[in-house]
Amino acid sequence: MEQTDESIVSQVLQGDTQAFEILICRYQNQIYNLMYRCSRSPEDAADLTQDVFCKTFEKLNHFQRKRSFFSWLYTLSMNHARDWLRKQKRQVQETSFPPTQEPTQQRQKSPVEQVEDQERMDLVTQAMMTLPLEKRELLMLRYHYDHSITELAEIFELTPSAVKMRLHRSLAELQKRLGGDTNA
Amino acid sequence: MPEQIDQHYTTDKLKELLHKLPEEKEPPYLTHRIMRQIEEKPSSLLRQITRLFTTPRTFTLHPIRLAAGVTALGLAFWMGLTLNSQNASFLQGNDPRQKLSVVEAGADIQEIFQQGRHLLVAGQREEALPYLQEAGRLVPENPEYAYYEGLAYQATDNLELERASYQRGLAHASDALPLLLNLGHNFLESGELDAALTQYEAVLTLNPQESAALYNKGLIYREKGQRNEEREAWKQYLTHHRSGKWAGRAVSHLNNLGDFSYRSYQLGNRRIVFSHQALLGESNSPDDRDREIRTLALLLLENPNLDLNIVTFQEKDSESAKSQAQELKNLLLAATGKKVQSRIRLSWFGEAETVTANTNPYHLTKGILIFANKEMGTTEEKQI
Repeated sequence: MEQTDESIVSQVLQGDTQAFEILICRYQNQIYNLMYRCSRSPEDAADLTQDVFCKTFEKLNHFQRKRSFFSWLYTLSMNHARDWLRKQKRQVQETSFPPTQEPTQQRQKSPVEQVEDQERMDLVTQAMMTLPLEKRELLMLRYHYDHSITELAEIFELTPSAVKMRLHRSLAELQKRLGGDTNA
Repeated sequence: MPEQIDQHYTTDKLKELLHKLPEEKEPPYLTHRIMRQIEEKPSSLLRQITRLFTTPRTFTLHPIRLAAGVTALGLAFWMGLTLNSQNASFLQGNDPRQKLSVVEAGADIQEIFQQGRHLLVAGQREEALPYLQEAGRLVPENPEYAYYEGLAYQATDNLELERASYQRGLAHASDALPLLLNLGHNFLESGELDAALTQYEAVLTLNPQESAALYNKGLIYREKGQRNEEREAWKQYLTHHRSGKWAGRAVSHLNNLGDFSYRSYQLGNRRIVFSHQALLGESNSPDDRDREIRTLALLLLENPNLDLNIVTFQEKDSESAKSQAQELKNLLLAATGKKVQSRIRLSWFGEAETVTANTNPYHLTKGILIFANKEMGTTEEKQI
């Protein structure tokens, strides 16, 4: 039987540092993808993922058992991503580097009827990149990774009904962005 | 006109597409890298205890902060008495007493400015702003003060005041490059593309190699849909800047436009941008080719474990492809003093090179591919 995250955390806290590797393997892909969506750079995404896991390891004794390890990890990751984005924005000005948030790619002008499934997926990916971090991650966690409303409520520190409302709004915003572009 | 929802993006379809969105694969070394870092660090508690005994405890008294604290206390008491009548003006931030709360009356202007700058660099944006505002108010004609005041406004998300600070600075120093550049960024972030472009052009008049101005020109033309200008802008950027992630992005944008005059190659641990035209000897100046050859030569000399594979393509002309490959090898040997003879392998094909950019395939009549030995996977190569 697969060991639960919480029992692995206990093991690590008792001194078995190596056990932490199981948690890394379990979640690094999801965290890496979160960071990739923020940075759009494989190198930065890897660095940010590394930072988050190291920070998580350092803070492990603050982990409260009443919430799931994943939701705690994801919250830490989102905070880290947010800090990084803020810092990037500041660096743009202070070090005269180009803005990191590039405008999204121009979409093809062909009628949507002719657009293949793959192309539609590309458009959705691009539109997702233009959504704010919270909205984007809410949609990804719910509809890509199939996390429950309860888990989302934990991660985003909202009530389940607020999560549902925000999901609805985020979907509508995504629809609007896609609809707006296809009418352009 | 009401916005329409495209029928392909109904809620259900969108959920389905989100479910199927492709994922990036994390690098294979990541787990190992994280674990190595964790194992190298002592535990958090141990580290804290160690720090307690090894770090000297210091207590620093900042005259400005002390004055600020005392003034703020007195002010808070006085404000409590008169808050109702004065509230509106104080909240608007134009009451000079607000400045008194952080800046000692009669304090040295340079000290005030430095304090603000240090706070800004330390990431204490809100705290930095009043100092930099005060420095700017006391000496409005100082472009450096205007610049940092603008930065503080930018850091606190006030684009309008940020712009006003830079414009004030430029009124007194019209060729201050950092002010021109950041004003360009400000316009760009506000979506005022033409104004941003004007600023970047002014920057490039002063410094034709300024990387942010060159790069952002590409972005602006891209956003405006001016493909030819965009193409030229990326090329201009790459003429001067070949390393780092911005160079990688510029190449990617350029290639997505179907232009492969610059290409990015993974050589060992490094991704290097080369001028495709220059490598093939098609550039107007022979110096351009020398520059590419020097870079390759340096890579070979710096890394004795690196073996290079050079593959050339020439549609329907295998002989030309062969002589092209051989010529490149000769140039590399000349540049390295023939120390790397056995580390350069050549292949050539009498056909077009097929490359993909933005999921579109392109056929290049003349092509060149360079890769390090580890990445070699083909069995079709012809060895000289």
